[in-house]
Amino acid sequence: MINAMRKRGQATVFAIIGIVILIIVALFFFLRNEFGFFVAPTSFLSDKAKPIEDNLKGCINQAVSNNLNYFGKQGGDFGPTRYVLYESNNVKYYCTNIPNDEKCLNVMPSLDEMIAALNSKIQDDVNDCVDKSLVESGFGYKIEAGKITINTLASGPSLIVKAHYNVKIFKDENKFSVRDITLSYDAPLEDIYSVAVDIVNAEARVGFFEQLLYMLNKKGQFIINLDKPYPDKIYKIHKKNSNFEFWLAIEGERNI
Amino acid sequence: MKIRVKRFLALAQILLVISLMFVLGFTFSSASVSADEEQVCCEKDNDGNYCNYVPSSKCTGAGVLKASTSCDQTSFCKAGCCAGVNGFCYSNYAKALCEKGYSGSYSNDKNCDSVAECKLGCCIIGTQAAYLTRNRCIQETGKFPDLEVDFRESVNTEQDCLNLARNTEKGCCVTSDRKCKYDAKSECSVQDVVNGTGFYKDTYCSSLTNSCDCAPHKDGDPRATTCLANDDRVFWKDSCGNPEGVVEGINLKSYDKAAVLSDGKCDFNKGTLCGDSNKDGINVCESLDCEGGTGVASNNKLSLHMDNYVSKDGTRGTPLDVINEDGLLNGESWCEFDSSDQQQINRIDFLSTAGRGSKDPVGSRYYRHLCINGQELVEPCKDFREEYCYFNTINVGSNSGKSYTESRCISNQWKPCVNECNTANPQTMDRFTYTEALKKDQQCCLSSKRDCFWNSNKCVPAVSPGFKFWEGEGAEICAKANTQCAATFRCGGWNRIFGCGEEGTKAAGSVGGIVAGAAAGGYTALTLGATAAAAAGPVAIAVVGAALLIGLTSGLQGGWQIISGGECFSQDYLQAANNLCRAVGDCGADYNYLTSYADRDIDSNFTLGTTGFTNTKNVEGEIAEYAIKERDGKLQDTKSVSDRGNVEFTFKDGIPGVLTDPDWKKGEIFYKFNVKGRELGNMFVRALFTGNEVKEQGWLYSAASLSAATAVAGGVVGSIAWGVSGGLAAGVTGASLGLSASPLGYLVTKGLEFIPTQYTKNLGLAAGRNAFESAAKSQFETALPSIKTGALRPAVESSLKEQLGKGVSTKLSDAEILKLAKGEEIAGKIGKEVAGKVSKGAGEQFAKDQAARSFSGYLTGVSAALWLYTAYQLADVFFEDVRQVTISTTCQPWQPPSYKITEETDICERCNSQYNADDEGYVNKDKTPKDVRAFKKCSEYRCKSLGPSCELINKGTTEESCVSINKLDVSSPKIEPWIEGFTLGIKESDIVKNSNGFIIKKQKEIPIYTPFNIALRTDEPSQCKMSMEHSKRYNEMDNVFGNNIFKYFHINTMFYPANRNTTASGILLTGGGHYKLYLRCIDAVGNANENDYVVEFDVSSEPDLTAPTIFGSSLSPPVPNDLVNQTLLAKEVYLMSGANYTDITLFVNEPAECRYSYIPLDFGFMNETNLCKTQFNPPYYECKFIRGVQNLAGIGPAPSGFVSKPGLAQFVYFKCRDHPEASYNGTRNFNKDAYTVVLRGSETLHISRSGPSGTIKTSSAIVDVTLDVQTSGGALLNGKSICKYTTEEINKENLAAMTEFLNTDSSYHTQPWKPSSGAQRFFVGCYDQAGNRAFASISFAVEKDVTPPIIAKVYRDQSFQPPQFTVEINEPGECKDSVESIFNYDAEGNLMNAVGSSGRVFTSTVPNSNVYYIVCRDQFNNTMAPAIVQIAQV
Repeated sequence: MINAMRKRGQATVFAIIGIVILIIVALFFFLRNEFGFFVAPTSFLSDKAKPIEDNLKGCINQAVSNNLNYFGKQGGDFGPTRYVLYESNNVKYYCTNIPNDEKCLNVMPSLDEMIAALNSKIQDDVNDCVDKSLVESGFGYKIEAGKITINTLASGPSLIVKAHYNVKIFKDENKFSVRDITLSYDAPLEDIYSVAVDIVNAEARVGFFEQLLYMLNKKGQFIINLDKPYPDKIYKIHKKNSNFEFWLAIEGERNI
Repeated sequence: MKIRVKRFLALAQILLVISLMFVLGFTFSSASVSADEEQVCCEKDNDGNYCNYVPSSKCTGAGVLKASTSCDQTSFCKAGCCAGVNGFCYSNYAKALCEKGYSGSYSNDKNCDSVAECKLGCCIIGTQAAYLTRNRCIQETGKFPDLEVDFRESVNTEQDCLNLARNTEKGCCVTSDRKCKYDAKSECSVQDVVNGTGFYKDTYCSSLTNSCDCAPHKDGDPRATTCLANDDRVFWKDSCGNPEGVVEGINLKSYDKAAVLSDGKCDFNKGTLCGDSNKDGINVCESLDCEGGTGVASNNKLSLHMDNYVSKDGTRGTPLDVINEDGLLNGESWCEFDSSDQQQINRIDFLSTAGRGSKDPVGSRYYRHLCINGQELVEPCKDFREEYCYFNTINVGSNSGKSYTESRCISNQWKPCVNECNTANPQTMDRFTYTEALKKDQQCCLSSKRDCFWNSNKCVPAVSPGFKFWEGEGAEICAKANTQCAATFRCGGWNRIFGCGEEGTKAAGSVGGIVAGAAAGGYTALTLGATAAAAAGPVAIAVVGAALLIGLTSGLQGGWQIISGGECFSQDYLQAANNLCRAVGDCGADYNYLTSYADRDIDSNFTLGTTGFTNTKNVEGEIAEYAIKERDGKLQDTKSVSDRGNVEFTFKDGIPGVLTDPDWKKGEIFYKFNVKGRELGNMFVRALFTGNEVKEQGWLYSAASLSAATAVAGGVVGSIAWGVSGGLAAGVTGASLGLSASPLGYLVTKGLEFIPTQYTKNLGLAAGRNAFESAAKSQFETALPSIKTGALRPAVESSLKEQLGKGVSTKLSDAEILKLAKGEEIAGKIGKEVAGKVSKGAGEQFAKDQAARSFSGYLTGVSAALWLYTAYQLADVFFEDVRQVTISTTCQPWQPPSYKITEETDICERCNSQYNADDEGYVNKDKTPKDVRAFKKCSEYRCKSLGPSCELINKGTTEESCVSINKLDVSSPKIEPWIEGFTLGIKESDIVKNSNGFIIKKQKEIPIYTPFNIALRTDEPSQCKMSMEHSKRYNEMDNVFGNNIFKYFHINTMFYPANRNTTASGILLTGGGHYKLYLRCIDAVGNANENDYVVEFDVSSEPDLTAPTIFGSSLSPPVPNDLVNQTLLAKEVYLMSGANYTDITLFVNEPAECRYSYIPLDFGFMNETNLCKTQFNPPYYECKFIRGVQNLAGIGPAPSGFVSKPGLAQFVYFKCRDHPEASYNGTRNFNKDAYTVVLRGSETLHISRSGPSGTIKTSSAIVDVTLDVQTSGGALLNGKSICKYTTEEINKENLAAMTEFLNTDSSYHTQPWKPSSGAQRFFVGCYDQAGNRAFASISFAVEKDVTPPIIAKVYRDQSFQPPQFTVEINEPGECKDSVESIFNYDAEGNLMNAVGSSGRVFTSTVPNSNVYYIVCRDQFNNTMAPAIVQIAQV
């Protein structure tokens, strides 16, 4: 009977000890997460910055994927003033019609202007997208948030988006800044722009561009599809092994 | 006196009327002047666009240049070369856009050829090479700081440039951390080898075992292969991925089916390239061709292997035998079109510069197909056939022996063909001029700069252009193919007497002729009876001959006879005229492009439009109908096939009524102008021939008038000769003259064919014998039985001897003689000669028997008959009636056929490349093409060619399609659920259809707050709208269902207010329960559903575990959805100074009751009196706490019990609980965290300073003043507020009516102002965020003086000693003087001394001078012009 009582008591003691250990472990993780106990301050601050960085990265990806396709198919302009409606896109005229002349007037935008427009759009979308609640101070640490700066670059075969989020996280004397994020996308905008210049220059000079010879000269690195919704021309350019497509329009003239 | 008055009044009235006429005339003729706005070339318009041609009102920017001319005519927008923008060069670029838009460098050379910056060269960047401008090369190289610019201007082609990349010095680059990379030397940071690191020229990394950790590739391992970016070939790779030479010594074909070479020596120029398309890790040389040569399996994905590339009539594109010879190689291109009639004909003698004969069906188009990188691209040539595709085959390289097909869309230069190359006009030109003009037209037509087809005397487009025929375009062009054809009808004199074919007169004409013939015969008999009564035979001949000749002729020539231009009534003419018409464009009666496909079997009602071609029946009905009816078939019977030029005269076919089905082959002889027989009188035919080919000829009765006269003359001469000399020869000669040229002679000649040759010989009628000889065998056989065999015997025997070379040993019987004469064995061989001899012999015998007895009498009878007949003809000619009638054809723009669209046959849909009918579709169910038309996009032009009710809808969108919007279609779209489009697993079994819609079963309840799709399908392309209210017309509905595109399938996602991504125009669901959605759809014609289509569904009211969400309050409005979490943060609200309560409205997401407390408490502990209940005010539920209206409609008391003053911070905590309804038995959810508002106190707002004040003096016409206000106190205690102003005293405390300062929302507020002269008064009001307000006014005056002072008086003031030179001016100011010269007031001169305090009198500092130069200035700084005062010496 006594033994039985003892055993029951032992079991109770073990159960209590187990619960206490569980509480301690839970407390350990709570304190570790919320106050950075038992964690190096830099590591703690880095962990706190990670959701912000991930959120920012997600927002950039979303902004780019939402806009890039649309941007490319509208001739690198989100709101062109002179365009042709083609397959639900307002494709920007890169060369406008000169009456009674096969040649056209070259009005293509500069690469810088194009990239600036894309950058501005990504900037706006990222600003709208980022979760501001992630930059609120928490227990044991403080956050100072500033502006997000997006810098978009067209570099050869890629489109590079760099983001700087001026967020600083403080814990005691330690400070951590959210790291700059650089993402690269399969959008050879610069390469394609170079092809677009050749196309538009040919159209402006002689009113004609021989895309097949051009593609052969470039060893098939670029595929140029030409459609002719009357009376205009739409050039669709994409680089081999890339899904990014860039469209531009040449204004034509009705001859009847 | 009265008379005078009346006169005066009358004159006055006349004057009044006249003057009124002028007045009215002036009034009505004064047209209102509408001033169209001037268009200008604008350097930069108000939208920011450079060099646009816009209305001048859109070009108003400061300093912006503009000119009322085209931009190319201006100096600031002239097109030229723009260089230096990102290193690029732009040709034909507007100057302003270049220089001001992008800061580029502009030059006048439009093509940039002479611009040094734009010269292309080879830019070497590491192992890469690119053909760029120098600036671009610098820019590209600049991305790699360690590289130097390597730009080689001497490289002239891109291929040479790319080859340079191969020859770049390469090797392994080893870095200090043992990273090894095989690359160009220029890309290695350490160019020399130092301590094992650096660049190892021509060395693979795997061989540097001491420096690199890269193992060499395993021999024969196909996966150890790689492709390089700038090289076509396959390379081995080491374990680090570095290349190790071109793959050799392995048969890659055995590892990868995609390999076309066993080694890795691919060459792009030969159609192979390194690649791994099947992603198996083995890189091989893959073919870039679209299809191999003959014997290689076809690539079924190519369009030319699809249905309908080849038709039963030919190929609808470059012929397969041209393409298939060597397959479809990389870089080849070929043509495709819609009809085999459009096929290119590459014949040297083909009179077409474009190799085509203008047989393009309406709606057809040309396409160019390209093969590049193994894929087929389609380039449609410009629509309306403004471009056509031309292909050519070239041999490339003598070694390969391969032929390439190349093609191109060429601009269709058709206009000159019609407008410039048809100058020859046979109706206005003589033959010579016409012939010369035709030669020039041909040269013009076949000029290489034009795309024309020459049809011997007409120039037409080789590729007929398309028009916007549905808008009536092309009428002018079509009209150039109008034709006229003239036919001549004659009614002889005798017929005219008895009637020319009018109803019932034909018989009379015939009878008359017979009577006349009989009378003539009788007369002849009498005459002959008097002179040679015994000659019964001749008399009989004369009687019968004259009667027969006249009677028969009059019978044959009864009524109107066509004497020329019979072709005008032929189907050939109509076909040719229509073919000419449809050759010049989309004109005439023609088929649309669809008929040229296998669909030819479909009813021509769907493809043939006939209304573009009409032929005017410009013929007197009786003439034409009579002639046609009577001459049915006879016209062509009277001419041999070759003589009539193969023209078929099918009078039966409603001629000149209706054109039968158009046919390029019918009427070809007209169209191609190669008719050998022709009539000069036919304008159309004459128009088709060159002058040299035209020759006159008589048809039937064509030379009746002339020949009748000749016959009379011949007969008279013959008779006279016979009568005088009695000699046969002279008489026969005379008669021959007459006979040979007259219609009578024609008949006589025919008659003489039956007279034995001996007769004719004896009489000297050689012509008769010749005619007999030409009568050939059949006629001889006809005459043979009447000839005695004795007459034949000598000739037959002689002939046998001569022709067969042997004597006739046995005397032939009569039967044998006849048999031999007829028999094939002799007659067939000796033919005409035997017949001639036989007839000669027979004639001689017959003549011997008959001549001596009766010749003289018979000839007398004939002569008499001829006389009579000639007299008859003379009368017939003199009294004849000849009329010319013209058949005109009118060529107009083609119009599509009209037909009733049925559910089964909507021909319009066949325009769509994705047409997917069960059997006849262009694509398979998986959308893969099966018909060549799947490669041909529909366009408005093609769509319209299929029918008047065909319309291209959703233009410019991805949903563009051709559908029928038949005007007869009065039925609205039929709507039904589209199961595939629903979400949440809704199946067909979950839907119950009823008479006016469908219901989603209750069992399939929609989970609340979950977006879901409702999907519908309509039987025709439609737009749909929806509403929650029933019986709203389509146009009254605000919410679009899905989107506004006309389509068959429609999906709309239903959202709740709190859902993210809600559509702006969508209907939002508000919670659980039963919903009815009312829908209507409209088709492209405008037929909308008369009744609502109702979709019913239930949204679950499952247990609500979520507490209400307070989105915000009237003191702090709701924040955007994605920042909802911030609502939990406390909101600071400032109260007016002294306020002791504040009203507040909470915005909640669901029905709830809310409470507040001043310390944080659970909902249950909050004071129950501080309670409100929500009311729905979309999109929120509102809960109000308002002072004084407690317990009214759920309104609670306003927070109170405090006094707003600086330092107050009163926290108010709000919490809500859902399900406020008393009957609710479930668990109610309430907020754990409060929505907190901090009420902060404030002090009174003050306007501490305002200005300007006093008087502002100025000498300028415009004065700039700044209204400024300084505020203090207020909510933030620092004076931050918003200030407004007004000049109206009535609004001096009405902030809503005031205008905000330009710079405000701070403690210092300014507003620039340009006041006029005089007193100025402004009323200013300011308010802060707590609602504190302060008011003030600003008063000041403005004095303007823009005129300088004037010298009023000059004198020496004697009151001074010595007397002083004194000046007086008209207003206060100051003066300077000088005794030397005119001076600058600001820098020179001596200030004169003021006298007194008026500021108007001044004395000089130099008392004695004869000359003073004086300048004065007033208080407003207006300075007078220098005055010179000369002191006179008395």
